[in-house]
Amino acid sequence: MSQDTFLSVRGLTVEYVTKYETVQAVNGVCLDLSKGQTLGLVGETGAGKTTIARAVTRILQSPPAAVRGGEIFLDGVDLLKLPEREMCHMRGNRISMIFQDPMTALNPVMCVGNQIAEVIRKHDHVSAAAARQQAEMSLELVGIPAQRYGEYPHQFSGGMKQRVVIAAALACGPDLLLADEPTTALDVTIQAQMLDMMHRLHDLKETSTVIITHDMGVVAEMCDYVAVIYAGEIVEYGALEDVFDHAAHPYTVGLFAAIPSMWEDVARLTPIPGQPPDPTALPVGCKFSPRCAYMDGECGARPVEMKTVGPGHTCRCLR
Amino acid sequence: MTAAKGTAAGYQRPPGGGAISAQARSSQIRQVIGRMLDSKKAVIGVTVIVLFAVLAICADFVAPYGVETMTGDIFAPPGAKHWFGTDDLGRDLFSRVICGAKYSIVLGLGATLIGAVSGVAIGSVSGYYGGPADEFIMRCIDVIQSIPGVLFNMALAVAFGGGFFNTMLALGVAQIAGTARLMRSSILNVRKMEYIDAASSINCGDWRKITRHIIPNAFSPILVRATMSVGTVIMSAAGLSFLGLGLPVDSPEWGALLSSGRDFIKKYPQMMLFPGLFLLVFVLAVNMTGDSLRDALDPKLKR
Amino acid sequence: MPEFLEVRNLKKHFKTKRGTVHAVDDVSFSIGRGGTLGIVGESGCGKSTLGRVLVHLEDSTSGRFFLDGEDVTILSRGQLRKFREQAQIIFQDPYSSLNPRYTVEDTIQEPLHLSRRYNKRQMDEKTAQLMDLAGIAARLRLAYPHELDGGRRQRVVIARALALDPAFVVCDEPVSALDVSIQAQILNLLMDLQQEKNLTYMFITHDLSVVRHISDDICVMYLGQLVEKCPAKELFAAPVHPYTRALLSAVPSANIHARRERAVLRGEIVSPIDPKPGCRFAARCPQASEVCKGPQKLELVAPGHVAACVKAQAQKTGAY
Repeated sequence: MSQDTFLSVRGLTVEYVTKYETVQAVNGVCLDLSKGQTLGLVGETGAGKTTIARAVTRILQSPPAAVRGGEIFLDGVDLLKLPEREMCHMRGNRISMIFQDPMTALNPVMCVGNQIAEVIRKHDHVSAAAARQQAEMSLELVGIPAQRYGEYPHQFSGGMKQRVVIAAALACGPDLLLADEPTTALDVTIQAQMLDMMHRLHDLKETSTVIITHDMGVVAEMCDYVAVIYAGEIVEYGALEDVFDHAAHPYTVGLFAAIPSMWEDVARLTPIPGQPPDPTALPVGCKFSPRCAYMDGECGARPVEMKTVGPGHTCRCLR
Repeated sequence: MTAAKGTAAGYQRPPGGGAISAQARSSQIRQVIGRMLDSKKAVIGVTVIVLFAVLAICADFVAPYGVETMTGDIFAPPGAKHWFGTDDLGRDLFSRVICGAKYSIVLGLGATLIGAVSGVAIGSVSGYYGGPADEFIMRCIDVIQSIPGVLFNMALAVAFGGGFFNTMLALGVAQIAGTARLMRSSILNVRKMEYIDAASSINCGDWRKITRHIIPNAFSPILVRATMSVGTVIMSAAGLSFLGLGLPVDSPEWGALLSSGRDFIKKYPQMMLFPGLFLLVFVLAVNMTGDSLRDALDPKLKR
Repeated sequence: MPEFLEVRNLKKHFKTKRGTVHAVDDVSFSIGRGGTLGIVGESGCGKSTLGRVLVHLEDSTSGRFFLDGEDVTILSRGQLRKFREQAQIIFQDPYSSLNPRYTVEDTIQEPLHLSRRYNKRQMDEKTAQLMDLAGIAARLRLAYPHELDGGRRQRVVIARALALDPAFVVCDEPVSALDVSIQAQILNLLMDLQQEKNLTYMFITHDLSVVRHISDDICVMYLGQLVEKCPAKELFAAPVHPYTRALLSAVPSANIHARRERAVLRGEIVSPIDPKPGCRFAARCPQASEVCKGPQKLELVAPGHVAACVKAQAQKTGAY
C-alpha cells in the first residue's frame, strides 16, 4: 500500500447465500485508489461491480449477502470493522453513492431541495436555514436553478433527477464518491451533459471517484485507472492508457473487439463466444478459460494470480 | 428425438387441433405435482384435507351418537364416553363436529370457488378490455364494496333464500367484487408486459391471450386470497344462521357450533374449543396447500 | 416501382389529458427488400411507436404504408392474420417479452400452432430447426425463460419472430439490454439470418455504433419527426442536421486518442405534446435563428441524403 492510497480494498470476498445455492459474487478483489483520482470498474452484468460498491458503503442486503473476507481501508480505517453507528457517520460525510436509477432514488412526496437539506442536516448538524442555503448551492452546482428548490421529483425530467441525486450525494463534500452506472438510464445528449458536469465537479472538488459502468466510452472519458472485472475477479488493472492501448487479458481484448465502431468499417463483429460462467459453480482455475481462445491445460488447473505486465499494469492471465 | 415424440403424442393429428404440444402440457402438470410432493407444506396440507374429507364422508359410520340425539348428559366434560364432551342440550360434540365437517368443508370450498371463478372472469374482462366496460364494472364494484360486508351477505342470503346450496351461492357471490378488483389490478400489471404484445403479433386471439398469457401470470394473488377466504366464509355462514338466515341455527356446521358455544365459553370451553380447533386446522391446511400450489405453479421456484 | 416497404406521411397521435402527443408526425421513408433501415433517436422521439404502428400493434392516425406493393394501412381481421405472417417484431427487453410460464418450446411453437398449418410432428421438426437457426442448444427445449441469460432469451425471441417466415422484421432495440460480448453475438446472428432469408429489417436503436454497423440507411428522428436520412456511412462522415451532429458528438468514444471537443446541447428533450410549427429542435439548436420558426421540410442535400433544416445547404458546406 503506497503512502497516498486513499481507498484500499484487500481480498474482498462476498457471497450471496440462499437456501438452495451460494452465489460467489466477489472473489478476492483488491483495489487501490489515490486521492482525487477516478477509477473505472468495468464488467458485464453479474460480474460483481455493484456488489463491490455496496460492500464498500456497507449497504449490502444481508442476508442473502455475506462478506466472507477481506478488508476495506478508507484513509487507514477498516470500514468492515467499524460499528454500524460510525459507519453511518462515514456514509454521507466521507462516502457517497449514486445509484443507477434516478427515478427510484428520490422520495416522490418530498420536494427535492428538502431531500438535499435533510442529508446536510443529518451529517453536519447545522440550522435549517443554513442547510437550505447549502442545498440551494448544491443545486446550482449541478446546474439546477435554486428557484426549483421547492419542486417535486415528478416535475423533473430523468436527467434533472439524476442531477438532484448527484447534488445530494455531493452535498456533504464526501472524499469518496461511488457512482453506479450514473448515466446508463439517460439519453446520450443528456449523458454528455452529465459527464461534462461530473468532470467540472471533479476538477472543483477533487473527490476520489469510483465509476461503475459497462460503457467503455464513459470509462475513456472519465477515468484515470481501469479495473476490468469478470466473474467477481479483477482480471486486469492499470492506468487508462495502458489498459486501452495494451489490453493484456484475453477478456479485455475481446470486450474491445465486440464493440461496433462508430468510425471504422467492420464487416463482422468478433463476439466473445459462450456465456459468463454460472456464479454458483465457478471454474477452479481462470474463470474466463472456458471462453478463452488461448485456453490450455494449465489455465483451468488452479487459481491464476495477478501478474505484472507493465508499470502499474497487472493482469490475471498465465500467458 | 422429435420424431419419436411425434408418434407418442397423437400421430397425424388434423392441423390446428388440440393444445400447444399436449405432451409438454401433461409433463408440466406432472412437474407441478412432483414439485408439490417435494414440499412438506403441500404434503401436510393435502393430507389433512384428505383426512377431513374422509372423515366427513364416513361421519355417519364413525359418529358414536346421532347428530340430534340428546344423551341427557348436559355439559359433560370431554372424556371416554363423550370425547369432546356434550353441549347444552346434551348432544355429543364429537358426533356433531364430524357430522358438521361435510357442511363446512363443502360450504367453505364451494363458496370460495364460486367467488374466485366469477371474480377472475369479471376482473379479467375489466382489466384486459378496459374502456367503458371496465369503467362500468369498476363503479359497480365500488358500490358493492361500500356496503358493509355483513349487510351485503344478509341481503344476498335473503335474495337467494335459505338452504345449504343457496347459502353457499350467496356467500360465493359476496366474494366476487373483491376478487374481481384484485384480479383487475393484477392483470393491468401483466398486460403491460411485452410478451402480451408479442402474442398479438403472432396472431394470438383475445381468448387465448387471456387464458394462456395473462391469467396464469396474474393468478397468484387470487390463489392467496381464495385460500384465506375459506375460513371467513365458514364464519360468515355462522353469522348468517345466527341472524336467522342461511342454514338453520341448529345445523352442526362448525361456524354454527362455534356461535352456539359462545354463551358458555367461560364455564364449558369445550363447546368452542373443539369446533374451533377443527376449523383452525382445516383453514391452515387449505392455506398451506394454496401456498405450495402457488409455488409449484411458478416455474421460477423450480428446484 | 415501389420499394419493399414504403411509408408515406405516417402519423400517430395520442390524445391525452394534457393535449395531443404527436408521437410520429408525418414520416415518410422506404426500405428495399433485403435492406436494413436504422432508426436512431433518443427516448420519446417516437421511434418505438413507429415500429409498433408498422407491425399493427398500434393503429396509425393518418398516412399510408405499403408492404411488398400492397397497401397495408388498414386491414380486416383476415388480412391482419396474413399480414402478421409477413411482418414481425423483436422487442427490446428479452426479460419481459417472454411469458415466464412458457418453456422455450412452448414459446417457439405458439406461432406455428396458431397458424394452423402444421401437425404435431411438423411443429416439433420446425421448432428444432428454428432453435438450431437461432443458436439455441436443443437441451434447452424445456427450459423456462428465467433459466436463460439475456442473450439466450433474445435468441428465443428471434426464433419466435422467425417462426412464420416473415419477410419484414422490426427490431426494437434488440441488443440494448445485453452486455457487449453477447450483443455482438446477437448482431451477428441477425445479420446472418438476414443474408440467409433475405429479410428486410427496420432496426430501432439509440446506440449509434450499433446502428452504423448493421444499417444500410439511417433515419434520425427527433420529437416524432424525421430530421435526417442518408446512407449509414455518410451520416457519420458528413452529418448535416445540427441535431445529428450533436448526437454524434455526444457519444463517449472508447478511443482515448481521438478526444473530440464536443458540442454539449443545452436543455432537454420536451415531450411532443401539441408542438408549435417550425423546427422542433430549434429550442436546443446552437444555430437557431428566426428562419427556424417557419415550417420545415426535408430537403435533398446530396444524392440519397435528405435533412430537415432550413440551413441544410449551408450546413453541408460548413466545416465540421
